[in-house]
Amino acid sequence: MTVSPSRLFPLPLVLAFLLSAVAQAISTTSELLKKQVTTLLATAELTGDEAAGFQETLLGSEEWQHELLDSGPVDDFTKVASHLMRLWKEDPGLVERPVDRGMATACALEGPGKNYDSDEVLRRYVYFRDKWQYGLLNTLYENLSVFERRYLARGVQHTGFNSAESMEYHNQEVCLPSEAYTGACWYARWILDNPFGDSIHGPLYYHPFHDSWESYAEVVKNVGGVCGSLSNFGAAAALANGVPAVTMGEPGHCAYAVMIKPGDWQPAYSLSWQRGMHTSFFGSSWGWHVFNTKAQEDVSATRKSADLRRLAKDYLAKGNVAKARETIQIARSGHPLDWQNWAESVSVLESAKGSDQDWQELHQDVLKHLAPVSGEVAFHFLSKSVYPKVLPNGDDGLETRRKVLLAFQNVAQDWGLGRWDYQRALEQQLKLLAGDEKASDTFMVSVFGMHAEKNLFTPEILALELKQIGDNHDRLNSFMAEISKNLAGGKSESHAGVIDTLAKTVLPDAAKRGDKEIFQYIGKLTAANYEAHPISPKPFPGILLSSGGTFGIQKPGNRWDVPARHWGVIEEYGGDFHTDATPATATVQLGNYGRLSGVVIVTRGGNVGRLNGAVLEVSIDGQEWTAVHTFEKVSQINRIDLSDQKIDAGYVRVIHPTSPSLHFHKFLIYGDKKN
Amino acid sequence: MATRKTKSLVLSLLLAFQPAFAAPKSAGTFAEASALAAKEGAPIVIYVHGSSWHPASRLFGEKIWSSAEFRSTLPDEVVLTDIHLKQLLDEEEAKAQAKELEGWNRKTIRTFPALQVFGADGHLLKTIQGREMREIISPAILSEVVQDALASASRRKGLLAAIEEARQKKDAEKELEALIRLVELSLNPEERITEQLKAVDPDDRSGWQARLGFGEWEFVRHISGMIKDGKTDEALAEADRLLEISRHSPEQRALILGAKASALVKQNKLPEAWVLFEEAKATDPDGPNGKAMWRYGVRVAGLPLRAIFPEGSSFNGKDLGENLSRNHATFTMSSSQHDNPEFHSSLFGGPFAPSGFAFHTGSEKDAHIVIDLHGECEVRALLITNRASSKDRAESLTIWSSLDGKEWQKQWQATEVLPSWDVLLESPVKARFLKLGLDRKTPEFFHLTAVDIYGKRS
Repeated sequence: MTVSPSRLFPLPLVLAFLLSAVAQAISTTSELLKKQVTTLLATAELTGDEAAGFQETLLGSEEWQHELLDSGPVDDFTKVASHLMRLWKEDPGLVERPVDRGMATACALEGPGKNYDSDEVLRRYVYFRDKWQYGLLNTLYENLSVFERRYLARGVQHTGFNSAESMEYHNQEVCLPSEAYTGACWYARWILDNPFGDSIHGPLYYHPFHDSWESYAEVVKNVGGVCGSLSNFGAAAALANGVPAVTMGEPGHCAYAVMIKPGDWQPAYSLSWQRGMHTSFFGSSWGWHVFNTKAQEDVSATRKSADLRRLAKDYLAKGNVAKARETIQIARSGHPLDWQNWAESVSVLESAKGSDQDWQELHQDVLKHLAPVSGEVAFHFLSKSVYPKVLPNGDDGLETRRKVLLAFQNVAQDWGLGRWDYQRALEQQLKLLAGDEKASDTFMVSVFGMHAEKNLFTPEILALELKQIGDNHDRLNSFMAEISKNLAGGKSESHAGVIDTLAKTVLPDAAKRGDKEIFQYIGKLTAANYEAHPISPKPFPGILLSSGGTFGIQKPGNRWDVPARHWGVIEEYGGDFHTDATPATATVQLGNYGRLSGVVIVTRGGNVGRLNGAVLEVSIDGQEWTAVHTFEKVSQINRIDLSDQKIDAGYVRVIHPTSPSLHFHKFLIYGDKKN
Repeated sequence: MATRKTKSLVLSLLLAFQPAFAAPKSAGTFAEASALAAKEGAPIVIYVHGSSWHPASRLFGEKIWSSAEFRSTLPDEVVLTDIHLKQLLDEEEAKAQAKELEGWNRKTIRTFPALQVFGADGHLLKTIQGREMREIISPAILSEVVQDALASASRRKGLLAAIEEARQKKDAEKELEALIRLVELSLNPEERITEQLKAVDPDDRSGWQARLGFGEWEFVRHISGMIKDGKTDEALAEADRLLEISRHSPEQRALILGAKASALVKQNKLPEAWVLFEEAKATDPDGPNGKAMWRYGVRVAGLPLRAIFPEGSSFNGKDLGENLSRNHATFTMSSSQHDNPEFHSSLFGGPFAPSGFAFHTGSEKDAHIVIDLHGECEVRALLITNRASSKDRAESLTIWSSLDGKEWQKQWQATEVLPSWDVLLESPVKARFLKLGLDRKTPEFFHLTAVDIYGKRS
């Protein structure tokens, strides 16, 4: 879902509101901003000869004050102000240079979080200032917001990459178009043991090489590493060239993301949607990351909502509770992407001892403005701050709780800004429902019904309910009978029928989105509905890299194709598919990145020759493809040995440039995993 | 070797005699440049850049690459072109760019901007990028770099002709000589060069096949694998075989020496291994291979042998005399409740005990060991290595000295618990016995990993 904050914010309304505040002799937004900065500076107790000059300069620039306070959270203002004063002292002219001023402010804001001292904050600022001056950063750098600059200021998780030497190395040796940084992790080789046999998981892996090259980045480039080192290498390369990037943890893996252009963060070397960002604000998941970065895309809207928060606080301080509530309501409905508007709404209601009606209004605003944008953030807010106020307790409250909880399901209809842990939220809702087994099942049937048409959350709902049901077959049959009424056709189906009906849309959709978890979950359920394929050719060395991945074709579900059998195609189990569009394309997103040893294809028994002329292609990112084999003189079983080609890949496909028809039972990719 | 400044001067003098309007040929695309180069028998020089997204690349293109000052220095027989790789192209734009770049391999450069020199036959001779590229800050330097590459290209052309002529005449010696001169040019390797060498030098008398086919760090990995599999004798034999070949570069030789030393470490032949690690460093003192082998050798041989001080020790670079304790001293303990005598010798030499301590007293007051140097010595310093775990137990560590083992004089006491202590005595102390122990009021265990005593024998 694409959200433009400027379109969400009803600017004329805000302006009218702010003007009306002025007319009522309330402080202007500029005055309130200045007042907040003044108060914070007073608490910071800056010392030294330059303190007065710095404060005067900061208080003389409304733009700079906004940049400092309205570019995401400000942690430890005392340290931030101290760092900023140091930068200003060393380079007083930065005030007049917006790019440098923004970078200096970002460096000061990130100093405390990373525990950088003032010298290090200064070094990082000077690096970016000078590199920009000499034209050695990507042109994206020029128009970054202060918030986006905070990623540059912070650096990556592995501190060795943040040194002056490493940044210089990356600036010189890995200077690329912005989108190419998603592949920069592969500049270093994936290898578990160093040449002496010491594992990356011990302290000795890089030890022999510390003096061999001038920087840690160069050591990693030459020695190699595994996902942590490689992802940090890729992200650090982007940062050193002025392109925002961030490393992130995934289950058993480390990946990173790059802002390849304004508003477009691309995950790199990523295996899962379950990402914990190493530079995060308010929440650390991928959904939160996209939410926050979207919020900050429109600097003007962000500042206006911050102005409104300051005004609400001012009203509250002056005892005008009604105006405070009204003001913060305008802020959150005008710019729902700004988390601070929601957090401040709670503060206002708690300070003003808000009524049930006030909390109900807040609940309705979440459903109306926040949930459609981000179900994840909305549910986090509801469960943490709103449900405790609006959900009644006890048996008598069950029906009300059910209605309130279902209201969220009614509006959170898609993944919003990013895949999130819907199942966990639903599980939490079941706990909040606090009903018996029957009430719980009824609730789940209702939830399923609300999501049946879009079919996005249905696998998650099914997975949770199956977990709840366990091996109670009567309960399972009853549930399946109920939910099948909501599926296409509206007729009651068997368990197998429900699964196949779900799979028809869920598998192609999950493959398209690269959602391995859902593809695998539903795919494995489908396997009970058809026999394993009897042909099992000899595998190539290594593991089955395709296993656990996704598989998709163009025009899935065409008249020849049964998507419910797609899962088995990339597993030893087997399955089938049939394309029906030129160029015929069958694409595997591997379960694991790896060095390929070979590919096995088992085609259908008839029309085997259709594979002739097709090309086997590989890709790291699913975007840029390289041909590695052309099929000739094919048979039903085709074994392509790739062991000599040193291919690292995350995706493999067969594409036939001139034919619409490919049909396999198995498309198996083998090799050594590299994640 | 001439410095860059000197070479620039010579070059500028030479250039003064060149025609004022030498005109290298320009081509719009790589394909056009290749066609023109093939027709003219001329090399190609390409400037690969991202000027639309990298301002410094644009400036380089405008001020240096396109400057008359640079271009006027080039001979007529060269084709120039540039490749502009844009960022964030949509599908149509990407297709158009791919068409424009047909024949050129994007993967031949790793960073922007870059210069590439191709032979007339389309062989990529050289890529200048990264740090090397950033050093080109004027047309004069660019001219020098390109002229160097063109000179190599010219020599290569001559050598290829000589090789062809020798082949026609079936003169294997001349062919081998020309092939060797070709690989010595420091250009990108020719296709199937090892096979070409093998054809005229089947026994690799020149050693060049071994050098070109050497696996670099993969060779070390291979030897480590053999060691892990218990095949140390075979590993040593393989390393020895390669060490007999004199053609390997110093960087390669450092790896072979270090790999052999690793096998010797596995056989617990630390002194022999240490000699090889030192030789590896001497062979490639400033290169990454020599440095890495040295650091590895220090850890696995130098430190266990007590032949070197640890990294960061204040003793490095100081003359403290000989190691008085190594393989010589003995010691007694105040008690031995948790002790394993098997590890006692590790206190003064050899690899550290796997338990982390060379001795272990019971928990007691005045826990100590008495070290006998077996003769009067002038003790100057001690390097004491604490146990890595439970290191706080060494609080109040104290050194006393004695000539007779009866009368003791306190010489030093630790002021803080450290992983190791560099103890430099205020003045040399005459002693045969040293007592190391805890000087505290409460009972405590006493254990250390290693003690090295430096000075001279009387």
